[in-house]
Amino acid sequence: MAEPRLERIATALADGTPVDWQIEESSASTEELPLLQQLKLVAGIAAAARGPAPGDAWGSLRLIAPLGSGAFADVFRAHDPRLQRDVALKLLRDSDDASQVVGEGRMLAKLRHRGVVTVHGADRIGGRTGIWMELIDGRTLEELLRERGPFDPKTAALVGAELAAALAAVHDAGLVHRDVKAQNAMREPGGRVVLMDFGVGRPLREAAARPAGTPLYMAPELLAGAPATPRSDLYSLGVLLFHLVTGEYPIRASSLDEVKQAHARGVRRSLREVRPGLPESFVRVVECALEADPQRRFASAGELEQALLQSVRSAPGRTAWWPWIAALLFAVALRLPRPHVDPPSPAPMPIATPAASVSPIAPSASPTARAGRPKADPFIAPLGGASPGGGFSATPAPDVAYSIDARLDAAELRVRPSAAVHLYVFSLDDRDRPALVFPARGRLSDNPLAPAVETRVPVWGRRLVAVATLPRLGEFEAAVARQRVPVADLTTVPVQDAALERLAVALGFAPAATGRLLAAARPLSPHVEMLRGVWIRRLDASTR
Amino acid sequence: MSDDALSSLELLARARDGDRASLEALCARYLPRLRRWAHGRLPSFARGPLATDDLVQDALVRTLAQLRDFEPRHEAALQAYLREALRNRIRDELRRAGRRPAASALDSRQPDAGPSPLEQTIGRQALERYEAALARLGEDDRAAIVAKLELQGTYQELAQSLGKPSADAARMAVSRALVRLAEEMARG
Repeated sequence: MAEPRLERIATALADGTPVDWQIEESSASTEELPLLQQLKLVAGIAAAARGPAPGDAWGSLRLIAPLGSGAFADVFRAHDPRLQRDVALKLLRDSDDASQVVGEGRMLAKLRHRGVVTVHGADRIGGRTGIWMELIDGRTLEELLRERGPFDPKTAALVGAELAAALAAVHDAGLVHRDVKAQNAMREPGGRVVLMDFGVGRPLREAAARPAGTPLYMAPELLAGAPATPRSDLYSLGVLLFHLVTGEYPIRASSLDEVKQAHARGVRRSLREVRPGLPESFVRVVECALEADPQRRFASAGELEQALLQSVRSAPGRTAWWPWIAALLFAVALRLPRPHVDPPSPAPMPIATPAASVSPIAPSASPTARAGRPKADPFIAPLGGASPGGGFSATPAPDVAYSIDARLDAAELRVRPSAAVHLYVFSLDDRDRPALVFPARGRLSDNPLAPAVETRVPVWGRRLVAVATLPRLGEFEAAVARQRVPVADLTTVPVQDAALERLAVALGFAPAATGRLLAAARPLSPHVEMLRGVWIRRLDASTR
Repeated sequence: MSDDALSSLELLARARDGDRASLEALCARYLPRLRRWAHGRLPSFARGPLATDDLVQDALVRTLAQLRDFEPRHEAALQAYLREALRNRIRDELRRAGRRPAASALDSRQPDAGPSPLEQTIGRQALERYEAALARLGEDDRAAIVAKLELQGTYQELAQSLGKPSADAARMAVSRALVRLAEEMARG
């Protein structure tokens, strides 16, 4: 009787439990074998219908949870026991070009750049082609745009510059991305912008005439059948920039044919008309990237990056740059000598009596606790003598008031000091490594903040630490300036150990305290604080 | 009684009497699993989320609205019937797509015609053999296989929709139906 074995296998097949077909076939009778082979085919249908699911294994990776599902792939959070970390695993549904996808994935795995998602590997296992990569905890630019509305031009320029730097690395590796769009760029809470989804990336020399990409982002020459090139990626980046500051696209169309027709007629919307009032320098960069003739676009991603940075440097006054962060997350006002609080919108600013004033951070390592520090210390000297409580105090002491809204990780400080104050804001990553988010790279001259004027300070990051001092932390700034910083780190500057030590020393702490100096900062309290000596406060998400 | 508490056959009867809410309730009940099913059957050009949803919903609404002569013995038979109607609709769409460029949502990828994922996995001929064998099976066997293997129902659901006394009984029914399917496929 063949039925018992076949029924057992059929049951396993229906249950979705594994069947060792090799063993079953090797022990099957001649009657059973042809039926077994048919059941094996049916097993393929059942597996395809079931799809990958949490708990399944793919090679050495164990699927943990679905992250998303697109037209071409399912993406899972998966655990990689060899790397001892969770990764994002993209399992493709199609398999006709498996070898090409695996090849691309392996090329991408050789690419290391802060602005490009790190691909760990690619393979075809059990009939499914997959690419596993760094797990990014962030939001796509499209999500941010939908939630917050159009970006201000400076933020868009800085984001665009980071993406251009990432594209430069991609192009240097001999690849084209071919699907640059707001949905394929993510921003981490710390401010890092990451170019994602190389699903259609392929070697330059093999870039086929077959069009691929997203029509509204596609360069006109691609729609006319030309192969993808680095300059077609730059066009897409131009569309992305246009989209970020307007929420719209350069071409208005509702079908692929309409997109093609618009390009054929040379009809494109002007950024100046869609959003009047943008800085001319920024508009020129976007318009150049969107040139229909590839030869009239920027020659390289690096050139586009530099043009975007230049547009930021040549922009008008800084206060005018930040209206998009009007949904204020928190505001800090530094004032002398008594608090006079202007409630920032939208949240009311809590005010406490002077009795609620608090002492400086890290009392165990306060500057005075370190005997022998000369009063000529560049930090201490301008602050005057020791306070009665043993700490150092500005005379008179500034008060600090603030309000916090926890919705976003892009924030704006509003600072209105009555004396010139130097402000340094750091974003901490998961390992407490700080990056300087204010002053931004190349913008040290933004300090000191002008007295009696409200200055809006944009900052990015979920775990923020603010340091306010009256003197400039010159040695720290010099150490930061000496750092060899990756070109992609445009809005934030990772603070390396040497600079961090200078920071600790400048603030009156032992160099050894560097590692904990910022991470151990006390959180901002909801009360008015007296600014005595060094003022360091954590502004992380947990306090929002 | 709420629509949720009604069986699909009861909803179908009400929908035939012109009850729009029952028709919508039926669609809501079958749309998710048929959408998932269709995803594997569509080549990539038609597989954007919008394209799949539109096609499945349209096919489902039309089929249910025009269901006059079919009297399913149980819910699983209705489900298998809807799956077959959707398969026919996809086949029609593919024929039509072969005669004209496919439309695509502008915020999704460019059309890229080719075999469906399922055809890629097991091969077109094998899939045709499977479909032909499935069509030759009895109604209950076909309904059991479609409900369990293709639409990923649970045995408990299957017991209810097939009119079986227990989940174990439904499981046995599926296993036996699969063996009969293998025999049909082997016959070619």
